[in-house]
Amino acid sequence: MVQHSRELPTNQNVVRKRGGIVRRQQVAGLGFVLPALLVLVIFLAFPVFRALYISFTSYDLISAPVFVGLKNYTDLFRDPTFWNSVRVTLLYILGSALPIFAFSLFLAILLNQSLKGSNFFKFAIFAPVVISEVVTAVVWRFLFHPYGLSNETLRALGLIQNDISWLQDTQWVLPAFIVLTIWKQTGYFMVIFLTGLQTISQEYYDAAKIDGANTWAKFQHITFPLLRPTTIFVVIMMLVVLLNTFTPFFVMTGGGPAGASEVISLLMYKVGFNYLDMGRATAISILLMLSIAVISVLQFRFMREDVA
Amino acid sequence: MFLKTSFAYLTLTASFWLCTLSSAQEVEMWVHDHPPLLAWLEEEIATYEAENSNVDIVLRSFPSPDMRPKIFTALSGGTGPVIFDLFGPDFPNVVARGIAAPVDWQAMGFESAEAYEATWLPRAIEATKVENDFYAIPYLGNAFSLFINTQHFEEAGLDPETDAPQTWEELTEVARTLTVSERGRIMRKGFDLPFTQGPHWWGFLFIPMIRQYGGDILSADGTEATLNSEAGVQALTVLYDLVHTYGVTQPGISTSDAVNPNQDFVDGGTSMWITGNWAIDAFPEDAPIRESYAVVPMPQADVDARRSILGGWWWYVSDAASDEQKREAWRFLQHLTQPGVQLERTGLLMPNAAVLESPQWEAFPYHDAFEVDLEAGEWPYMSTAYPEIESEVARAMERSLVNGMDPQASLDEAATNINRILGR
Repeated sequence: MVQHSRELPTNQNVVRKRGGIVRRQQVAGLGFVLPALLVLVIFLAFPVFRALYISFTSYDLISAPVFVGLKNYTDLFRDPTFWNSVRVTLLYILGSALPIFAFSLFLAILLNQSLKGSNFFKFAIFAPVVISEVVTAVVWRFLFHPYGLSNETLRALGLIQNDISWLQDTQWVLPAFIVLTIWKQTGYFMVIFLTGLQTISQEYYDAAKIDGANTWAKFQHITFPLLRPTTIFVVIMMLVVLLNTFTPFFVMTGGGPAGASEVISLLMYKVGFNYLDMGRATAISILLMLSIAVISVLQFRFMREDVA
Repeated sequence: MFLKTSFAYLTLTASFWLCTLSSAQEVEMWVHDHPPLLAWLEEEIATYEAENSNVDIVLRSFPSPDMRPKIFTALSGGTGPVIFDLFGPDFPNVVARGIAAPVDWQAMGFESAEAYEATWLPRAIEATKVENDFYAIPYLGNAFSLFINTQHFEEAGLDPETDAPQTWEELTEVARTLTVSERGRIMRKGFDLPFTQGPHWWGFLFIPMIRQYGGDILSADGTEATLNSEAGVQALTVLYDLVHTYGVTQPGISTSDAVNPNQDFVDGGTSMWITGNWAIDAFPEDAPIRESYAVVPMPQADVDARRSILGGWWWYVSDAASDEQKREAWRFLQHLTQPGVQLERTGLLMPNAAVLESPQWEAFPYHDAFEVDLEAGEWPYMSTAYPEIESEVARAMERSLVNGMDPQASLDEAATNINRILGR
């Protein structure tokens, strides 16, 4: 009887062997993922959890943090300065988001046509995005001077009789920042919309043309529905960008006059680095992060519905 | 072979230690950005290093509003300078956090703490003392006085010498005369308020005013806000009337900012402006204002009971520095505090007793006026919550002077907020 040096594979052996391959693949996969995972843990997860811990402490940067429970949060909720910042931030976002959305979409559709000189206009509209925020703030401070170009233009158009003190008037300071933000951010979102528009096949428009659809019908039934993923991305990005806007407020008014332009990011900076209350500043940052997280969750929900 | 290797190793080690021993002790110094001060410090550092080859002083500067965040952030990370300066009212925060070393008067060449203390004006040095130790050198104690544009006075038919205001009532009248408006626009402000210079500038103006009327921002023990007292309302009403009743100035039309707080006065956009003695050296060399300004003491509620303010920056030595670095730092600071030299080179006044006797002070423009305010000068209130209280004071000023809110209502709101801050 000849003895076989190799045993015939049994089901158990096959499973074991496959399990070994899977494990090896898992180990290899982990090896590939590990560097990125480490970076995420060190530079993202750790700071977030550390910030969460600091938000429950009294911490002045120098002394060791002392655990105070929810005190920083309760202090914030009782603080009219905090609620003022929330109100200012919401007004700023509401005032900026809709015009930026409308202008950037309109300009993207316009410049998506093969018009003469469209590249120049794309460049001109995008240029404010790449200009330094500090330079922007300094230039606009002159434009918003009561005797500056803004008021001279409005006077010439007969829209105002008396000069508006844009940056030193509690009623006008926020509209001034909204105008600046529209100018600064429209180009960025226009480019994203342009990218989205270029993914829509021309065939849809050709078919609609044969069916006799007009421009509005094409926009309503082709462009806007097919642009939905881009639109959701733009809305979320816009809210995140607007929530985090800091430099123009810091450079142009420092939050004044009388807190009328003190957005939440500026209050966070002041509480942390001017008032040296890092615990309370971190509590603000956690609240800000949570609001951004809620927006992101909504984004995913919308996208899932979109795919379904 | 072994001997050769050992010899090479020993030679290398010895060279390393010799290099270490002969290398200069580095002392990093952070200072707020004031061009005349920086220029002078650079020269002094070069001179000092030439005389003391064992020291290497590295100077870095930052805009004034950034100093507090920079210093505290750097020290919290275990880095930061050996010598740094901070705005006077930051003193309680520095001491409470234990980041400054006590003044080493022995390293500075004094025989006793009393001898060191005696070199300073009493009111200036007292504020730097905690129990028996001093924790700061109050190297800047500037007087705040009223600067007037003499050309504007003459154009308005006023005599800069006899018509210069001494009280707030007189200032209001003179400011109305000096203000020039065209087509509903103020072309020249009779007197300006610090709408654009940053929160602490409101303090430079409002703190001495409320004290002149018999009040203060906080109670004597620092536990309660008192700025909404009758004195506070009187002081704010004076400013309110200047803006809303008489229209001698207007928010938003100034060219000044936190970096160039005197710009509008230099440009001729403002006829009267309260600022520190340091402003003179900061006037540009070729600016016409150099030929057409005068300085008189700060207007008062009662000229027989003067109250003014000292605004300044203080030197500190980090407690985290090595003993050797600290010793070198104190020695260098002693070099910098030679009476009269700083004043002559920078226009910055050191509240040092000998400075007022120095020939440099005698030669300093309008020193008589500054001396009046220096004698009546007091530091702002001291509190670890100073930065947050300062913001509330500024908001109160802006609510009333920009937004037109009733002074009492605005100060009541500020008092409520400050009490909440103090009770936290």
